[in-house]
Amino acid sequence: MSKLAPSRRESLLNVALVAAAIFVTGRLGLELALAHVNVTPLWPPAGIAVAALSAGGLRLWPGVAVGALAANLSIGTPTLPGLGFAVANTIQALFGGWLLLVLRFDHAMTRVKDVLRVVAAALAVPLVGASIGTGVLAAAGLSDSGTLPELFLTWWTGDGMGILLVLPLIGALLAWRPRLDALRVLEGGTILGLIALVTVVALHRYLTISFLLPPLVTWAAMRFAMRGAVASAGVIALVALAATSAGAGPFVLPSTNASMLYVQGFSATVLITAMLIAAASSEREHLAAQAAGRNRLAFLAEAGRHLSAHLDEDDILRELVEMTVPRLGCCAVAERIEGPAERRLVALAGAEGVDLELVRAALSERPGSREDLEGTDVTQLRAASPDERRLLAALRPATPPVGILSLPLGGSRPARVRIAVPDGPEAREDVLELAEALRARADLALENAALLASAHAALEIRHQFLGVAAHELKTPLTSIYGLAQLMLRLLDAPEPDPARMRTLVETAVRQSAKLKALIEQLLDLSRIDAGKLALEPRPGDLATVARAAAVVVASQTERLIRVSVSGDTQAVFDAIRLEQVAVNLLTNAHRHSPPGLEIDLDVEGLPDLLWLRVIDRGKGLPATERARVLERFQQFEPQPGQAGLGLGLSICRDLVELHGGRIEFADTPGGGLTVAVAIPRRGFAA
Amino acid sequence: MTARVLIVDDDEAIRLVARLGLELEGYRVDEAIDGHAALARLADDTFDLILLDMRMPGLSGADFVRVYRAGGGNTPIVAFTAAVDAMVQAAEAEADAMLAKPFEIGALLDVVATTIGEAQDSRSR
Repeated sequence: MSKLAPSRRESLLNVALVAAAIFVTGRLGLELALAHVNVTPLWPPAGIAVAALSAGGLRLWPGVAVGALAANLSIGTPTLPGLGFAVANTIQALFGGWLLLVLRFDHAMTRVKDVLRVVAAALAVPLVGASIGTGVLAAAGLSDSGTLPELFLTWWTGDGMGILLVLPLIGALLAWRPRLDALRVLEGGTILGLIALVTVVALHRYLTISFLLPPLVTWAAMRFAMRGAVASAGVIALVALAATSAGAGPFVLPSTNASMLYVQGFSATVLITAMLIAAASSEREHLAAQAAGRNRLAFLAEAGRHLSAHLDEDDILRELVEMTVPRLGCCAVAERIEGPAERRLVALAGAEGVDLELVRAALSERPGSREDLEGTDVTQLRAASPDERRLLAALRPATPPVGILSLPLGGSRPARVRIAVPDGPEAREDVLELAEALRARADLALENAALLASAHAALEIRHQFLGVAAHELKTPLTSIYGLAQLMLRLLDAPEPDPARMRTLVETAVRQSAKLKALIEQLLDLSRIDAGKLALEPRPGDLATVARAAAVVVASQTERLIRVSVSGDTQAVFDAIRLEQVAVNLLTNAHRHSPPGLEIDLDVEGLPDLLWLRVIDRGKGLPATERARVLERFQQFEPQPGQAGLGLGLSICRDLVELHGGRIEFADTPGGGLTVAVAIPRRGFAA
Repeated sequence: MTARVLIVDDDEAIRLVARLGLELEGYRVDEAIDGHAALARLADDTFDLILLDMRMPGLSGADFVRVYRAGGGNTPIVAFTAAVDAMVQAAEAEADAMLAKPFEIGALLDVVATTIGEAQDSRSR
C-alpha cells in the first residue's frame, strides 16, 4: 500500500499546487486587509479556488482547505477561527466549482454567455464564504457586531472581485497559444502602457481625460480577446487601487474600506465591460471563420466536381487556372513538361487589370530550363528563380505586392501551376492550405485522366493490331482462295495445262505455310500474354539447333548461310523454341540483306553462357530503332510482300527471356547488323 | 484489241492469282510490286485499268491514287484490299471501283470488265 497509482500521485500534486497558489495569493490579498485583519477587499484565492475546482475537478478541494488555513494561520489568526475561515473558503469553492460545472462554463470564454456566467458566479458564490466567514468572526468574538455588515460587504466584494479577475485570466492563459510576433508584442505593450498612463494622469491630475479609456480598452479587448480585456482592466484596477490608497483620485471616501469598495465597483464595471466586448468580438470572429470555412468547403467541393468532370489533362489544368483567379491570386499559369528541355504553356488567366500579353511575353522569354517546374511541395516563393522574377515584373504594375505560389502536379507528364498570390503573413497560411487542397484534387483528376488516356492508347494499339492481323491473315487466304478457283477453271479448260497447274499448287502450298506461321505467331502471343507458354528444356547441342535453322532458311530463300561453332555448345534448353528464334533472326537477316551476300551464324560456348550470333551484311539497324523493334507490333522498314504482324522479334525476345537470356544488337564490322542471343547455361535449375 | 491491266500489289501470290485469272480471259497483264514501281510503269506505258492493293509498304494505295491523279493520270482504278479502313480510304481517294479481299475470280473479272467498259463509254461519248 506504500505505492500510489500514477493518477493518484498526479492528483496529489495538483492538490499541492492549488494549496500553494491559494497560500501565496492569500498572503498577498491579506496584505490589503483594511477593515479587518482577516477580511480583504481583494481575495484572489476565491477565484483560484473556483477556477481549480471547476477546471480540475471538485476532488481538488483539500488544496483549497490547506492553502486557506495556512495563509490565515501564518498571519497569526488563532487556530479555531483559522479553521473556520478555511472551511468557509472550501465550501465556497465547492459551491462555485459545482455551479460552473452545472452551467457548463467554458474557461476559454469566447462567448458572451460565458462572461455572464462568470458575473453570476462572482455575485452568487462569495455570498457563501461571506456568510460563513462573518459568522465565524462573530462567533469567535473577533469583531464588534457594529462592523459586521461592513465586513460581510467587504468579504463579498473582495471574493467576488477575485473570482471576476482570476477566472477569465486563468481561462485566457489556458487558451493562449503564444506566438513570437514582435509586432503583436509591441502592439499589446503599447495599449497597456497607454492605458496605465491615461489612468494615472486621470486619477492624479486631469480626470477628464478618462474619456480615452473606453476606446483603449475596446482596442485591447478586440485585438487580444479575453487576454486583452483582463490585462487592460487589471491595469486600470491596480492603478486605481494604488491611487486610492495614496489618497488621490475620485474614489477617495472618508472611510478607507469604503474607498476600496468604491474602487472595486469601478474596476468590476470596467472588467465586465471589457470582457463583454472581447467575448462579442470573439463570437463574431468565430462566426466569420465558420462562414469562411463553409465557403471554402463549398469552393473545394465545387472545384473537385469541376476538375474531375474533365477527361483531358490540358482541360483539367485550364479549369484549375480559371478557378484560381481571382479566388487565390491575381494571375495563374499552367505549364507542362513536354521534353528534357521543353515546356508548354497550357493555360493562363489573370484578374482584371493584369496584362496577360506582358505575362505571356515574360514566360516565353526564359531559357528552356525545367528545374523550376520540379519539386514536390506547394511552396510560396518570392521571385526565387529568374523565371519567377520575370513573371513578377510583368505583374507588378497591376497588383499589390505578390508572391509566387507553385503547385507541382502529376499526370502523364509533370505539370506545374503557378499563382501570383497576395504576399503577407495573414494571407499566407490560409492561401497555402487552400492551394494544397486544390492541388490534391487537381492531381487526382490528372492521374485519372492519364490512366484513362493510357487505357485508350492500349485499346488503340489492340485495335490497330486486330486490323493488321486481319489483313495479314486475309492476304494468304485470298491467294489460296483465288488459286483454288483458278485450279477449278484450269480443270474445266478444254486443254490440260500441267505446268501452270503445278505453279498454282506450289504457290498454294507456300501460302498455306505462311498462313500457318502467322497463326502460330498469334497463338504464341496469346500464350505469352496468358503466361502459359511453357518451355520444354532438355540437354542438347545448340550447334545442332543452329544447323537445322540454317537449313530451313537456306532452303526457303536460297541464301548462303555459313555456320561456325566454337567451344562447348552443350547445354539445357528448349531446342524447338531456340530453333524458332534462330529461323526468325535468319529470316530477318535475309530480308534486310542485298541478294548474294552471305549470312554468318556463329555459335560460341563460354563457361557461363552460350552465344548465338546472326551476322548479316545488310544496311544495319539505326541505334535509335534497336529497342523499338523488340517491342510488339513494331517493324523496321518492311519490304514489299514482307509486311507481317510485327511480332517476330518480340516473340523471340520473350522466348530468349524465358531461357533467362537476352538479345543484343551490334554493328557488323564493315557494315550490317549482328543480332546476338545470350543463353545462360544455368538458365534452368538442374 | 486486247485490254491491258496493271496489277499493283506487294504480295506475289495475289499478283499471280489476279494475273492468271485475267490472262485466262484474254487480258494482257503487267505487274508492279508497289506504288513507286507502278508510277514508273505508267510513265512509259498505257493501260486500260489499274488493279490496286490499298495497303502496301512504301507508297500506299491511297497515296498512289492521289499522286497519279494529280499527275494527270486518268486510267480507271479498281482498289482491292482486306481492310475496312483501307476501303474507306479508297473511296476517299476516288478509286473507280472496289473489290474486297478475299475475292471471287468471277467478281474480279466482272468488276474489271465493267470498269473498262464504263471508261470506254464515257470516252466515246
